[in-house]
Amino acid sequence: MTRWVLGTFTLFVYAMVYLPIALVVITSFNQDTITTLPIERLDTRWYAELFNDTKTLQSLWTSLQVGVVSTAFATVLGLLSALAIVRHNFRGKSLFMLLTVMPMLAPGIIMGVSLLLFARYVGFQTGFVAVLLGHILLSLPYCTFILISSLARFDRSLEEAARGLGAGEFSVLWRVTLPGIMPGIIGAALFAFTISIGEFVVSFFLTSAGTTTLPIRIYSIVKVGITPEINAVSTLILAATLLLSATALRLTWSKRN
Amino acid sequence: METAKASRGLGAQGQLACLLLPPLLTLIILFVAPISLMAIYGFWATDENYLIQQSLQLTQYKRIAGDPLYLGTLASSAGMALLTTVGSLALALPLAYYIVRFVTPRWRVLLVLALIVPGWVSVLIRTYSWNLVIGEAGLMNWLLLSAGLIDEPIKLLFTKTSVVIGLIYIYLPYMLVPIYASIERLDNSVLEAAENLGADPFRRFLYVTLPLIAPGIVAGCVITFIPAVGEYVVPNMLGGLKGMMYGNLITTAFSNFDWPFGSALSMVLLASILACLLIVGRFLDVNRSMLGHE
Repeated sequence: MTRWVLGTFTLFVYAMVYLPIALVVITSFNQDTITTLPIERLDTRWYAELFNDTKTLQSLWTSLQVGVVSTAFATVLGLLSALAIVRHNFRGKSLFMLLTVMPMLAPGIIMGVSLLLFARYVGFQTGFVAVLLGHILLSLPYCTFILISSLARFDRSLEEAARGLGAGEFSVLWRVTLPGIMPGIIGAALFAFTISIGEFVVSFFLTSAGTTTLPIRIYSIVKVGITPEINAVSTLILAATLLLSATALRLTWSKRN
Repeated sequence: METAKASRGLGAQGQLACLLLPPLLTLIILFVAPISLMAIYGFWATDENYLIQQSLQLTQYKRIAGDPLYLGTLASSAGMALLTTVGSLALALPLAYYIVRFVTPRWRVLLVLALIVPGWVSVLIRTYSWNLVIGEAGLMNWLLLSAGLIDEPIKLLFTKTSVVIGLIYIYLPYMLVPIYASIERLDNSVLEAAENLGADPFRRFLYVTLPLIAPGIVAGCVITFIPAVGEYVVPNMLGGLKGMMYGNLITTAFSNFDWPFGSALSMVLLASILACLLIVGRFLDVNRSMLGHE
């Protein structure tokens, strides 16, 4: 009895989670100019229009650039943090971990406006680099925690063996430790990239006229009026995100025996 | 830990410094410094030409306290975040319970991931998608109109309700993860013991399961409530004028170049969040001592 009630409830929740997303995908293939149901004819015209929309393509290019660079930085910094936390005991360790968690918890709007204030105060131009720095801050906690769990599971006797064979500290790190946690590193990078591609609030405060990321472009189109093109862009982002997430999970997932 | 041989390369101290300094500096420059600056900005004032007077005064805070709009919006945002928290909890708790109790371990992970992964899709897109569900020409109205249940489309979009729906949608994964983890960690022998002693399922849940998963529930509520109070994207996309939240006020202040005021508003939000965390922290400690957790 309990089982069926709970099962039905669970099914309902899943339906509600996937319904809006499914609607976006379905509507993106609607031939009609008005995004309403019912859908008379299926068509890919909105995707075609998307590829002729230079502004949107430009913002996609910006997003990809910001994504790649901020991912590289966040992953390396996260790796350093994780190595310090897992391999060393130091005073203020819990404080450092708290500081690492904080950007995950603080409302995005607070980080956006405070970075804007700070940039203006020290005479830093908002724009590409500012957005980049904001994204590094946002993805750093996630990278750090993914890499902490990878490092904690890594078998350190391999390092001892390498040292016994006369390898120096740096070559142990480079040739043994890093290859050993490579899935975690790639997973962390994919997470960082996913965050950067979808991020809106912080970018919103730090963009300049020249650097529009894709979410900000989408936002400006939605604010003017909803066009079916939005569904097409959203569907593409959805597909890309799901693909990235699935890959990240495959890599970071380890069978716990 | 270990005694690192300082014969080659850096000593343990030097290694640690190399590892710790870059991320620490990043966090200080991009997080601690900007928020500290914002705290100072909140005490500054602007004259009629919007020039900032850098002298410590409480002008901005008096302004916030003097107009019911600001604290009223903060209260209503907190109310909406609370509704979001309760709603997410009501969805996540039975769901997590079902997954742990009735699903084989192999499928469990997949089912949980199936709820979390959509959460990584851009908040903007997920929020926008609700336009297609509850908008005037959306699925809900189309179904109801086709079925002849209503004559006029229901205007659900751009209300507080639509904002809370959107918030629950965005924050459900946050709630689910800690709750699922705490239910999965439950020791079955304790439940069996309760059963052998004659406790019915309801009492088992109330007196055994609930106290044991309380930390997970509290954690889920905290990480749902805190970001929800300051949420900006959802009320902006689904709220219209009726569903305004505190985040909209902060944005408005900043887009009007009234930075000291925007900073003061932000600090009030941060202070409220910290107060919540402290209260919850104390409550948890009290809980621990009351329940006698080892």
